[in-house]
Amino acid sequence: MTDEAGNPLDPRARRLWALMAAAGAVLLGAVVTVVVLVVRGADGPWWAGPVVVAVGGPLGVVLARLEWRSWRWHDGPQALELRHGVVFRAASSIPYRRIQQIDLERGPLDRAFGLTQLVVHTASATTDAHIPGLHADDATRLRRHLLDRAGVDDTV
Amino acid sequence: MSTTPSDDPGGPGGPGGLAGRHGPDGLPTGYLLEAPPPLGVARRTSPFTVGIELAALIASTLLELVSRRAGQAEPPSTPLDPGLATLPLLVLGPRVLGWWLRTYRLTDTHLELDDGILRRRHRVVPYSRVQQVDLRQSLLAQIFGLAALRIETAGEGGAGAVSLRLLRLHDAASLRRFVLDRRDHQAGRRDAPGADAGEAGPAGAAGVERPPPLAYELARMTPGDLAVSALTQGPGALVGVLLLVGGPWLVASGGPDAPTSVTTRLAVLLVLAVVVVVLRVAGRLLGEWNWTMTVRGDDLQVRAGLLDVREQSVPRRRIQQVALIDNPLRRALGLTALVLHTAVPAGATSEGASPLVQVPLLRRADVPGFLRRVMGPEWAVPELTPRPPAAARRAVVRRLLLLLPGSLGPGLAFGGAAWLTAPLVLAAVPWGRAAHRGAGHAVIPAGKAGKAGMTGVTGVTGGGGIVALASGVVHHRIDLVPIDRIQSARTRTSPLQRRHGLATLRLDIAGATWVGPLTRSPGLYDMDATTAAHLRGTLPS
Repeated sequence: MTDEAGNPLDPRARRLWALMAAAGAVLLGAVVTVVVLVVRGADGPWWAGPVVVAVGGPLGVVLARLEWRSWRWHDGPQALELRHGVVFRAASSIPYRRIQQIDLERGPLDRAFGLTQLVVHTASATTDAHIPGLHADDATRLRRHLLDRAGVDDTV
Repeated sequence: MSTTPSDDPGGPGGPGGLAGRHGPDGLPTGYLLEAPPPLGVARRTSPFTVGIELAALIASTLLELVSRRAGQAEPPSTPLDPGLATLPLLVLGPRVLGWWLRTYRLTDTHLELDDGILRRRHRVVPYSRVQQVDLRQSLLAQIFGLAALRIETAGEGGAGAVSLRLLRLHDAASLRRFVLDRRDHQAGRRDAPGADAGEAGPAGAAGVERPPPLAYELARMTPGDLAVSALTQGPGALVGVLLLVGGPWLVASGGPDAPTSVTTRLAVLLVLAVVVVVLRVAGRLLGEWNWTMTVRGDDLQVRAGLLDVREQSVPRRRIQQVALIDNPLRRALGLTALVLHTAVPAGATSEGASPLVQVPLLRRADVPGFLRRVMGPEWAVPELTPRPPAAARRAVVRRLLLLLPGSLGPGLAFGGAAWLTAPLVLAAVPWGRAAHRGAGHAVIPAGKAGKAGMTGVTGVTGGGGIVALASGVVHHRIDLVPIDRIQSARTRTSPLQRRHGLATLRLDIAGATWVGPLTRSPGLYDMDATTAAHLRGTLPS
């Protein structure tokens, strides 16, 4: 059961992830079709590609929506708390005083949907602190808030 | 192996100091008896640095020439190809110029390094920023009495490290000692206004003119210890490979018509096993020859090696994790190995800096005393809280699934005598139970004196509490992590784990990137989910 405490991601992330899952299924279907045509020729099971799209597309969209639903971030009293995952559920605690650097990343698709990814770095390379789908304004505010909590001066 | 009998971490009443003496191997361990490096004078590395390169280049050119002549039916009209002949000049010219223009200068407060031919670079390394000074001697450097020195500074991801290669051994040892002493001296001046002599201990004692810290030998490995360490390391891996690879080969297509008899094949496998073991022992002896650990103030210094001699110097405050690693054979013999993980940045490892300080062999009985002397009085191997019973069942089932293909596979594939491997599947039960017995966690709470001062050595961690996580059978390890070194914590659950109320806990520490099988994030699989969530929320602070 997903813990309902904490903040969800921006709803636009759900649409972006669903779109990417559907696009991934279409791409996979195209690859399967090409492989079938090359290996078995026109007499081969040409329908394998469309089947992959028909099954993988909706499945991917459902999983993307579930993944979005499972995401929660919470700025607790001492630490930033993250939870996510449908089949394998992960939870991370990153104390504010351990924060060394916060990056905001916006890829082309993120920008098209008005989203921003927030990545928190500590001295450990294995720290899992990546919030993938925040509204651009929320991400900037959260970054400022986390830097304040971390006691880091952000002025240049 | 020998360790000093005292538990005193280098206090005035501790074992005799080595400062200012020659080390047991003849390497000067202190510059006090010799002239300290001259200050304010620009110096160069040894001309042998270029000489060795020149020799290597000439050798490779001659080799190339010989191979060319050998490949031709008739000798060429000109013995030397003009292009080939000018190669040493083309390559060596800039090298010689680069060596000539690369100078270092010592001052009272910092080290200056100038280098570059067209693009000159001037670097200033304050002694207070120095973290680690490593000395390394390759076989060639040993022959010529030279050594490479690497001075690592804080927070530059390894890129800011100063590498001086090659220096005369005497100069390198003297320079190393000088830099470390100046660093400690400046740290003493910095600590002086608010320093509490009662708490700061020998390394942090107040006073502007602080004497060089005492040094004493903590442990030493004899060749016998190293041989035992190699012989008892990873017997499971050797047996496993022999069973997996040699087993099917041994029983497959056996019979009177087989080209080789079973006895011959068994003999081949045994000879192979002996060769592997002998090579392993030889490798350990060469790599760790005369392994000696010395404590000098806050620094741990490890010297080892026969052909390639290395001398690591690691500040104890940079230690992030201590791992006790053993296997069934070592447990039966009452032995273990110890690995100290430091926060060497990932970028530095590619340049030869190791994030690990390994103690090849320790008696179990010596571990508590060794930990106290190296890390501080808070350090101990605590009683572990076992995992829930559901974890024991899952441990057996998981190993059952793991052994099924290996035990029934040969029989299904080859039939006949190959079915002899089938009973191996039963090993899942004792294996799983042993895994459950060896796994657990414990938390040593924060000491009364708080985070600083408890250890008697400035900056050494452990006063804020220690968490212990243990797991494994064939490769059993107990990870001891100072709580104030934990950067963040994670839990992860699979559907089956959730069904049994279990979870996996992982702790993130600095420098825990994977650089070999001994490094990983400390963690515990299948622990109680509530406890894991509690530790995730409370341990990192």
